[in-house]
Amino acid sequence: MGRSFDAAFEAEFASLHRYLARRLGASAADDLAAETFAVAFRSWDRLDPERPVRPWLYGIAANLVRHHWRKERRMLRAYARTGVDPVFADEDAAVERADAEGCRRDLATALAELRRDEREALLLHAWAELSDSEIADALGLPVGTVKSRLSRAREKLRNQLREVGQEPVEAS
Amino acid sequence: MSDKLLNTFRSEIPFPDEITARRIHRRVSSRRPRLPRRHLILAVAVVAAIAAPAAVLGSGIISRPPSPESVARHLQRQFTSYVAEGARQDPGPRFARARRAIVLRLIERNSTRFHYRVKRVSVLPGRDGAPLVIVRAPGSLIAFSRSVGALERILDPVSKRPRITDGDGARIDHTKWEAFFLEAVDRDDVPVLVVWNAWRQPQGGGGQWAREESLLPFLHG
Repeated sequence: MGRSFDAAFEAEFASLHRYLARRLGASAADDLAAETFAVAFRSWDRLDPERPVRPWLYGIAANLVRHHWRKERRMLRAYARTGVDPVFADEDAAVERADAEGCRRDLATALAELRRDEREALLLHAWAELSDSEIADALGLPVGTVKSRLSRAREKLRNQLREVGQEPVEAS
Repeated sequence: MSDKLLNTFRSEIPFPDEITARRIHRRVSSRRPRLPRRHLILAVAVVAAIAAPAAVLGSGIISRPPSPESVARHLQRQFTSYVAEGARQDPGPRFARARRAIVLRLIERNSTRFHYRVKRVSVLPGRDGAPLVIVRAPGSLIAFSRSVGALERILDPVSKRPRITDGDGARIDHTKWEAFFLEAVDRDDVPVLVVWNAWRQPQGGGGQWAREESLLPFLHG
């Protein structure tokens, strides 16, 4: 076997964990990252040697995060409402990020209002820094579908932020 | 601006520290079929096979690698000793109580699906009982070897209530029985492969052996 599981863990764990922590908090990230790599380990033998590991891992993670989408939306809404981001509660409950500039709270609202699949694609792009084709690989979708989801998600964010008087959003 | 705003959103979240990475790696690794000791056994088997003839060259005695029967016997003895030592030195963690009738029923129930016949089932008297199972695989040995992972997950599944903790206090996923030994022999009763697990310290671990590398059930560990 050309690739070792341990090497993949070494290369991808930190960024995958951080991605999950940004979405659901550090303690959920511990569990989800562990589960992601456990699933990956069990399927390692069946992984096509030509297939890139990174999108595959994020695809597994996306399947697991899917079970938490209500929690994620609840956390985003709570942040928007209170200015205290529950994602940071694991680390330091006392720290209020009330400075939480209005635009961040508005963004949290906008993210909460996105469709689940749009949010998934958008955050894989923005936080996991996957390319369109990698997102397509991760989610098992055609690249065109990913592009349209990203475009729709950005459009919705733009509109939402515009409604609350934030800066207009540029398409990337 | 949306991408920029999005990129900075929760960007204060740090990367996990080394301890977290190690802890999770251990947690994931504990679900591996068997890790270090398997290598050890393989290494022992390989060294025994290679070194024995080499060691006696000087004395002019011609020696052969150990037979599958002797390797399997050695592994059974080693397993029995680990179970006894574990019960004596690490009686704290409690596992499911293994009763021969239950284990036998479980093994017989899966015999058709996995194409084997039951040759021997015993429960070693550890703290909670450790099944030792020998089955005869009369069909394709490669196919049987490939199915051992699935079979093991049925015969010795991961416990739903893990009770062992690692050095950091994190729970380790362990399997149902305190120890489990599965040996397969071919239609001529020649040992084909062995996999085993033992969770109690000080010598807990797991291993696999096969008389040919292509018959090893697990590629990792």
